Parts: sequence; C-alpha cells; structure tokens
Amino acid sequence: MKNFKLTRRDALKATGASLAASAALTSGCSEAPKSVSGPKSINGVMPWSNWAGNQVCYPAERMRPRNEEALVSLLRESSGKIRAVGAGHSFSALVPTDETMLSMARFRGVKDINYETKEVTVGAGTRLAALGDALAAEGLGMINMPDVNTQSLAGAIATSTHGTGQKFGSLSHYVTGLTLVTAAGDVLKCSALENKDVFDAARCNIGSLGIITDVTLQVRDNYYLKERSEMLPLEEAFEKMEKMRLAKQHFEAYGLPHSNHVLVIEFSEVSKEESDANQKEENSSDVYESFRTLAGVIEAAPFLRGAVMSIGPRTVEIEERYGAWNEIFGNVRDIRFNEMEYTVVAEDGLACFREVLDTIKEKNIDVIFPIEFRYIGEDDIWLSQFYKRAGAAISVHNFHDKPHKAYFSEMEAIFDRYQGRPHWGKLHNKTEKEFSVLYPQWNAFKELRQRLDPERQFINQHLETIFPV
Amino acid sequence: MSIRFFLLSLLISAPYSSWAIDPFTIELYQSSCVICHENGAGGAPKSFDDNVWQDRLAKGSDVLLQNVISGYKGMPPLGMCSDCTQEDFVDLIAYISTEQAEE
Repeated sequence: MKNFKLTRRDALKATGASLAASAALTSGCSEAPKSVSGPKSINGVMPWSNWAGNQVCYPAERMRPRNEEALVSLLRESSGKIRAVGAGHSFSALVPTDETMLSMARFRGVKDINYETKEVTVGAGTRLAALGDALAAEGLGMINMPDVNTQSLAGAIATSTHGTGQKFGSLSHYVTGLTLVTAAGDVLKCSALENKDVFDAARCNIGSLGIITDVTLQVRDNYYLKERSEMLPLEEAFEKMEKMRLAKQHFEAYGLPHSNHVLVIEFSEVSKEESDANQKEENSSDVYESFRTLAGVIEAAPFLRGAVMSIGPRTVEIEERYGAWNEIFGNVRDIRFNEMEYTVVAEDGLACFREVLDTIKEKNIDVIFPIEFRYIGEDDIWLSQFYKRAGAAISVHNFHDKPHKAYFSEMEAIFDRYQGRPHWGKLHNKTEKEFSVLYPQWNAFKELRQRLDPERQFINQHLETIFPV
Repeated sequence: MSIRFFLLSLLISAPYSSWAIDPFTIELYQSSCVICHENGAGGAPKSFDDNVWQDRLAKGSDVLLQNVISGYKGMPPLGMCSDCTQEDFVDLIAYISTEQAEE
C-alpha cells in the first residue's frame, strides 16, 4: 500500500473507482478492464438505456421536434404513449416506453435574459453544464446547482433535483415561469400569475403533465466559491454538522461505510480576487491509483475491509478549492452506480443518517460507497420532496453491477420510519398508497394531471403504479 | 476546368468542418462526448486524432455503431447521449474520427 494519501473528493470518487477497477465495473470514461455487455439492437430497433444501465427499453419511435409548432402538431396527431427523455440520469423507470420517446434536444440554449430581474428563459433540453457556462459568460450565476450537472434542465425540474444548503431550494424552487404543451397540443404559459395551479404542479411534474418547452429561472450575479473539505471522526463531524445546520451554513457530507469518519465539505462565497489568488493545479492521479490498489486489497481480502476503511480516512488531508460557482458545483460522475435517495425532515436528518451508517455496520452490508448527506430548503411545489418542509436528503449508492436491492431495501425501511419522501428520479418502491399520505396536495395534482392528460398518454408502466386509474 | 471538376476540387480542398458537419452534431458532441473523448480520458480514443481512429475505423462502421449502442470498455451504453438516434451516432462517429481543420 504505497503512497497512500488521500484528498477530499478523490477519497469518495476513488473509493468507487477503485472498486470499479477491481470488480470489472464500467464507468463513464474511467479505465475499465472488461467490455460492457449492454443492450443490443433487435430487428433494427435501437435500445434505450439510462446512464446507470438499470433501465432499458425499445421505443418504436424516436421523435425530436424542431420547434414548438412541430411539437404541438406531433402531440395533436399522436394517440399513443409518449415519454420525454433527457440525459437519462434517472435511475427510476420514468423514461422507458415501447411507444414514442421524445427528445427535446432541439430546445436548447438561453432564449432570453432579463438583466433587471435576473431571470433567464432557457430551452427545456439544455444541459445544466451548458447552462452554467452560458450564464457565467453573461456575468450571471445559478443560485444553487446539483453536484452532477449533465442532466437536462426539464429533467432536473421534473424531479426536483437539488444541490445542497438549507438556505437554498431545489432547482424547481427557482423556476419563475414555464411553457407546457399538453397532450391536446395546447400551449400553457405558467407562472405565479398565470395558470398558477399548473405552475405549482409542473415545477415538479415527473414528466406526467405534458412537455415543457422552456423554463424561466431566477438567477443572480456571477460569484465565486471556496470549497473546504475535511475528514472528521464521526462524533466530531455530527457535532459540527448540527451546529452548521442551526446556522444554516452551506455544506454537504459523506459518511464512509464501515468507518468512523465523515467527510464534511463546506462552501463559502469569496471574491474573484481571493479565488484567483488561490488557484492551484489539481492532482489526483496518484490518489486515484492508490485507492485502486486499496480496493484490490479489499476485493482480495474482504475481511480487511473494516480495517482498511478505518485507517484510510485518517490519512485524508484538509483541502481547499477555489473557483467560479459552476466550476465548484459541477462534478463528473465517471463511475456508474445505482442510487436511492430519501428526504426526511431537516431536524431528523442527522438521526436518520446515523441510523443508516450504524445499520450498514451492524448488518455487515457489503458496501463501501459513501453515503451522501445534504440539506435543502422548503418550497411550495405540490410534489416536491421539500413541499412545506426543509429536508435532509440522504443518498445511498452501489456500483451499477453490484447487488443493490437488499441494501436499498434495508435503507428504505429506515427512511420510512422517518416519513421520508423518495427522490422521483432515483430508486424507490413507493406507490400511490404511500404518496397520497406523504404529499398533502396529492389529490390536487392527480386531478390536474387527469385534466391535462385525460387519455393517459404520458403514463408509462412505472407511472401506472404512481397514478393508477 | 469543367464545372464538375471545379466543384469536386472545392470539396476536396475545403476544410471538412466548414461544409459537411451538421452544427447539431457538434452540439451533441459538446454535450455528450467531449467529456471523455476530448482528452482521451480513461483510454477513450481521442477526438479528431487520425492515428487512434484508423484501426477502429478498419473494424467497420457497423461495429463502431454497435459499440456505442451497447457500450464498450469504459463507455456506457449510448455513450452518454441518452436521447441520440442511430443516425446521430453515425454522424458523431464520423465527426469524432476525422481530423478537423483549424478554423
């Protein structure tokens, strides 16, 4: 175990990367020793698969309207099932259909900027990374951003995708207007002043109301961040996190399974000058390789896992990183995995997080993937996980070709005890029965959904369990 | 010089990117492929580098297309472009495997 010294996110990323290398996992663009055996075309029909590879389908038709007029015609003439596809980052079966798969890739880019109100109107198919670059170039910034930025804007909005920080809402929270085309081909402009009921539902719509063509977002002036990462012993970390929660500080944390350590990552706004003065070259390749070696040891001798996971984190140094908001928030996830995420009431977050980490240890669950912990502010969006309650989102992962069902099932039982609400785009086993209790506006959403899509054209097999007839 | 020969010579001498690439293909490349292929991350064949693409192209376009669709080595199925069509992938392979003239 030579040169074993770790830094901030590399510890997390490399934990995954290393296991990937040793267990022949596949990744985005990481080295992988074996070929992927993904779905193949059947009778000339190209398969669709999500990023994680756990959802596959064979759509009979793939449509990509060029503009709103073409989209309206398509919807007016279509009578079959239609599912919109974005970047394919949802783990749940939101997209799969054997009928029509609709891409909004022609609806991309910033369409309008109101510099006075700091609002931007953006094409629904715009990827978050591209939006970040476009805004930064205009001297603007998103108020907050998810830590993965490859999703399409409409997909992220449809599932209340979020970053971290109790002072901040999810992406959906910053939507001030949107355009929705219904199954009948009606174009609805929605905001707090116009079609308000549709607006309150469509800001987190699970792709079940129609097709969104553009979204207007509240943004702010460009800004710079300092990110400080520190690996702390478990009790010290929990004490610090509780203080930061009460002070509503901007941070996230990663608990390392089978270890008594938590990585705490704090964000603070700094001046451009301070950011520029603290630029340094990132160097993680040695760390990456070190963790590969480490995981090789775990794979070869699993009984050493506890010791290795306990000793490793102690070597992680404090690290600081400076940069523009979109550089700091955006991360490449180049290790494929499956994920479950539940949001519990913010005040219960740390207790739930502790129970998750304790259960993994007590039940000796075979996982080394870090547990992600984030706070998010409340909103008033009907099906948002943060509806009328600030939340603590806890995410559990396992590599995409490692067993995850038993692990996730154990975790889901914990989340249920805390009345957790699942992330719509991540794996869960909830049906309408549970959702109708978890969401006070459930019936209002259902009625509106039925009004906008009476023939159930936007309902696929997965959504049948959520919105049964 | 006949018109036909003149047009042909224009085609040959013109920078490939200035006349043949659909801007939408470039957009798809930027949003999905560039992350790994720009610098050859994780062993991905580097974009626009004839040297690394020659052997791959020799396998035949059908093989390359199937590799993108099903995934190959470090590349996930559909190569990070979940909403690409088969035609998009054909265009992207042609784009990425061809040396691009400087603007």
